[in-house]
Amino acid sequence: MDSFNYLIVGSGPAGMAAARRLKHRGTCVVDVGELPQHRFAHPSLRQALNTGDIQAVLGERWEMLANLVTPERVHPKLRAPGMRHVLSGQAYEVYRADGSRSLSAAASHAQGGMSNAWGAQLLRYTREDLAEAGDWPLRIEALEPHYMDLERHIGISGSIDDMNGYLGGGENLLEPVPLVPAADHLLRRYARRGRRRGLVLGRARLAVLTQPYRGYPAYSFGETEFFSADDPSIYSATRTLRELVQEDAIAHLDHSEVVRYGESSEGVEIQVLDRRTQRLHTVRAKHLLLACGALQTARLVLLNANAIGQSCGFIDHTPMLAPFFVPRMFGSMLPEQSFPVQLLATFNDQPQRDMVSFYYPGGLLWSDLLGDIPLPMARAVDLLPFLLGGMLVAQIWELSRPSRENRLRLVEDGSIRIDYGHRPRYDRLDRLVKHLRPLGAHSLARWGSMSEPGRGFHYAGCLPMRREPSPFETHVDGRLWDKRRVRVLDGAALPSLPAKNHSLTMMANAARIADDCAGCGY
Amino acid sequence: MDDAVSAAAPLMREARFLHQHFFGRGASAQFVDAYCRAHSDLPELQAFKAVELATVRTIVERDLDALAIEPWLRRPGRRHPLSAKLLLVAYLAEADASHAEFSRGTPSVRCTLCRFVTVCIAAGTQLLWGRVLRARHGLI
Repeated sequence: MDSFNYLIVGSGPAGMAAARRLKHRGTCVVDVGELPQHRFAHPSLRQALNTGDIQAVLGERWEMLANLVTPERVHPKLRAPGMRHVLSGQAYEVYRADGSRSLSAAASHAQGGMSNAWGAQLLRYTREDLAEAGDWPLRIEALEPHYMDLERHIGISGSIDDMNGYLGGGENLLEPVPLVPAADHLLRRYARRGRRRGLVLGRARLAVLTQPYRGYPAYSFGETEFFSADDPSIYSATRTLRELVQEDAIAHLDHSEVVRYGESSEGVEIQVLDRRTQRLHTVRAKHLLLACGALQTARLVLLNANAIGQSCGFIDHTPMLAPFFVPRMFGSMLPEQSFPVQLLATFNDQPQRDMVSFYYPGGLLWSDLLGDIPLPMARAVDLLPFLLGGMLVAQIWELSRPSRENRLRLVEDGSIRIDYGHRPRYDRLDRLVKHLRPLGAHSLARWGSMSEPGRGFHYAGCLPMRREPSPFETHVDGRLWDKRRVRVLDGAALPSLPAKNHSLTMMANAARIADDCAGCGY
Repeated sequence: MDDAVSAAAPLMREARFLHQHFFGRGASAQFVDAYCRAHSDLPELQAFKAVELATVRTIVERDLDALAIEPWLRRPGRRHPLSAKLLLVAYLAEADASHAEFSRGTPSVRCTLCRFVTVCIAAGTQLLWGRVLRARHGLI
């Protein structure tokens, strides 16, 4: 029987942040570890389009046409053949307040988890974020050393600018990603006006290498983010896993799924299914650390507690989306190289510290946009080359707190059902429209659309950290309410979500818990 | 073999028709083949209400302006078959490199304000015409 000091379930960002802290200490990472079955054959989207490689662009089985009949059936970033492995895990369904189904999807069994498909925004929380969010049973000082360590490990591009007060940190930043004309124009107008009450605007902070770093090359900005998951210049947890395995710092059990665990005074006995042979075997560890994603971690805990029908909290971070047009930039040459996330913004004239990310849709196929333009499609195609140079899409997040009406539970067949009774409605878009108008960017509040329940993919709050946890909650050190040796590392443990992207904080928290586990003395 | 060819004939005619209306020129044999293959490989392209598929047939048979009518058939949720089929035409054209309309490297001289205004006027006119056609032919 295999035996380890620490067994980490999942190779996503939380698991790998913990694995780094527990390397060379008898640590094993267990994951299903799905890998891409297909690699995008071209270094850039433009080249693929210019060579007329229909199969490379649309997929051999027309994967990119997944939303042809039902819009948003598949998230735009997860359609391509090279991305399909990302959501191949546990099935789940999300239901609206009226009982209709909003989403039928799967969690991730991919090596590297959802970091294969993230937008690469890795942002610190600050003291103000935790105070606004509420319910966090720890101080920001507990996370700060881990933020710095992770940022050094990953390589973060960005800039020290007006957003620094909101973002925190800013040490050792790599050069920021190149700006497209519309974003550049927006930032220049903002700088000329001087900082005022209202909107604060700055460069994005991204886990994208704009220069060679730690042996990894600079990113080529070929607009392939919607087609491929395996570029080492955009950080994913897979990079850390490979480094740790190469260093012989951890053991790695792939093609494996943890199905049950049992704690005794000496350790944890874990039933692991080998998915290749479909055989169960037992692994022992002194400590079990769960990091297979909020949904799958919650499911494992519920299954292990024989809690069919038991419900947990559920937090999603559903953004508001709104197109903005910069008429001065209409007709600009479309850049050959770009990255989707261009700028970040927040407000300094309201108590809510919403976060706005500005995206350039360069990596999308133009056909993806035609259904949303209220014109004959051929005329829309005529207009797009003119409009795209002056177009940005704002994605707006606000604080997300638990609600009694948003619950996750285990269904009899072992799948996950999420009832999303309370759907937040973002009501401050007109404020953003007003603040951007003097900078030359225009939109209408009625053009905004709120994402459907479950489509935020920033899941949290299923097993929240508490100072005094109740059943199906966790201690501040990550331990399940009734366990000494089983801890939760991933988003399931986060009690609420400030407006900012939570990925880096989830990783920092996982590293913190791993350190606590290593120093617990048993 | 003859049955298969005759069964595919309406779809091939539909492909040529929609391409002609979209781009103002005929479709290549490769394009038509890709259009038919997509319908064969994607069952959801066949699974529409009979009355909606009849609308598409009517538009093809009466040589109506499909691009003008389509925006008036849009609805939230599941797309009308005409919308889905025109989107398929767009995706295939964008991916096959022979349709300059989708070229991303075009110099900005093509994107002048004058052209923008011209296209906007054409779009508005076509939209109005599409509304007339939809009402006149009772298309749903």
